[in-house]
Amino acid sequence: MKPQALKYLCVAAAITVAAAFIALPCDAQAASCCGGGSASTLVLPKLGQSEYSVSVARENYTGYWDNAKTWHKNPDGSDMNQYRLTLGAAMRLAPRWQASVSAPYVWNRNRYSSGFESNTDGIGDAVVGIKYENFEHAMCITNIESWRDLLPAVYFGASLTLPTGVSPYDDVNDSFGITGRGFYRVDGNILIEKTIYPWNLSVDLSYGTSLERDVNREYGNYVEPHRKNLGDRFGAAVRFGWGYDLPWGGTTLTPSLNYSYVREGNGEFNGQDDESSGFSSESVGASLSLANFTNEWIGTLSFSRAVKKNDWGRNFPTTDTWMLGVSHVLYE
Amino acid sequence: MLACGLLLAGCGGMMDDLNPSGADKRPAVTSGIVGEQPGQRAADFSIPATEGGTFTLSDHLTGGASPADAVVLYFTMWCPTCDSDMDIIRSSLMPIYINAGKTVRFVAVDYLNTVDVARQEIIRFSGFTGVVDVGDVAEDFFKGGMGKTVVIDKNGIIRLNEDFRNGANLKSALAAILGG
Repeated sequence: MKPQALKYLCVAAAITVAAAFIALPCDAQAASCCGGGSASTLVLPKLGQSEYSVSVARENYTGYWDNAKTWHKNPDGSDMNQYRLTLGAAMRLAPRWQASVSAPYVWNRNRYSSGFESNTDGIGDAVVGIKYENFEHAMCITNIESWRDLLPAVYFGASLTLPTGVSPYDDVNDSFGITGRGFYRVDGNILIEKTIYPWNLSVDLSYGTSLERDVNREYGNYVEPHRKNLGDRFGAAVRFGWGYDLPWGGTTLTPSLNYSYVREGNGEFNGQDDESSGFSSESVGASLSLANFTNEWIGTLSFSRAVKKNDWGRNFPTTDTWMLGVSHVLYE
Repeated sequence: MLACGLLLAGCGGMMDDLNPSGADKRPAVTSGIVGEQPGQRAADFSIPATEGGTFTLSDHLTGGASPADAVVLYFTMWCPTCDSDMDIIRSSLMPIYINAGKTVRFVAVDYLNTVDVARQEIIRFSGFTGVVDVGDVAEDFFKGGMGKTVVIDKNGIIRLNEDFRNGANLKSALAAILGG
């Protein structure tokens, strides 16, 4: 099949990778007080040369799981929200190599029963990434004619999270001003995607480790200097979608369902285990993506919910997240 | 990418995390005077207790109505971090002092909610005395916030004032007061 034809055929594949940044956040975004606001990496479709993306999100905190995995609602009268505007860009470096950068701007809006209100904002943690595509041509198909047709598209990626956000170790008054975690983190990532039109399935796996750092300040107060590190993080996300050709202009609508899991091990404080810091979270979600005939414009609306039940997470907030994003892919 | 770069470059205050410092920048402390730093004397305060009535710090110091060997203030907003810290205190630390016959008053300081709301939350944390920091009296004095942990000895001298980490420093501070 000619590349041009493939470009138009692989709607679901393009949406999956282009919208992964918007609709399939492998990172746990939750928790301004516990370190949220980091961006995901942008993925460029196979035939794309560059991509620009913008998304807005509202994350509402609904409660949390404790260390025994028991879910608790937030205190009565509280209303905690985080809003994010995330910009991303990706470009092709070589036929099989691409690079990306993304950064969120974060607004924290919190209110408690005493009447206390906090409205803060700042840039979140930015992410730069590079990806290698383990395939030469687009791997989406319409019919299975041989076993080779079943081979998926595989992206191997590496990313570096930069502590550009406001962390507890910055000059910040309290936990409500936090927009980042304050640590460099290196992640390895593998994205496996297969489209047998109109069906599409993708699996995104990542493993990351943070770099130990000096700390001499906590919430604006200078403290005895010490070394600190976060635990290693494992993330997994599965997304299943199916495409519909809409009756106008070759536009395609792709609904999808997704599930994501993230687990972070205990951090360390001067080399000692910090058993209060590890967490896990499971969430489910759905998204609707709309792509124009040429797949140059992809809009996505998604909803993700951390399941408010016992045993679906540990030591982490539960949130409902709405996201609306647009990606523009340039193929020439 | 240019826009992202400009966004990053234009945001001040981020260099601390991009290039972390291990320099000790704590201010010099004059021991014995009233202040929030270790070695200084805690100011007395009275704030509502979730069980009713008022919690007054001096009541729990030597010469007070209900003296303890030490008072531990833990600032909570009933978040997962706070829950985890308080769980460690309850499961790993409280039994040590109970078994040793020492009286350590563990106080959960809610600095964000009403008394009624704090009363609902403290139910899950037996062993803690619940108080509500109406007027931000304790928060302002101790520069409190989520996870801040303050240890005060029976003479009113602050022995620890830092964010809860893994409980080791809290245990050491109490050991220095109580022995063992």
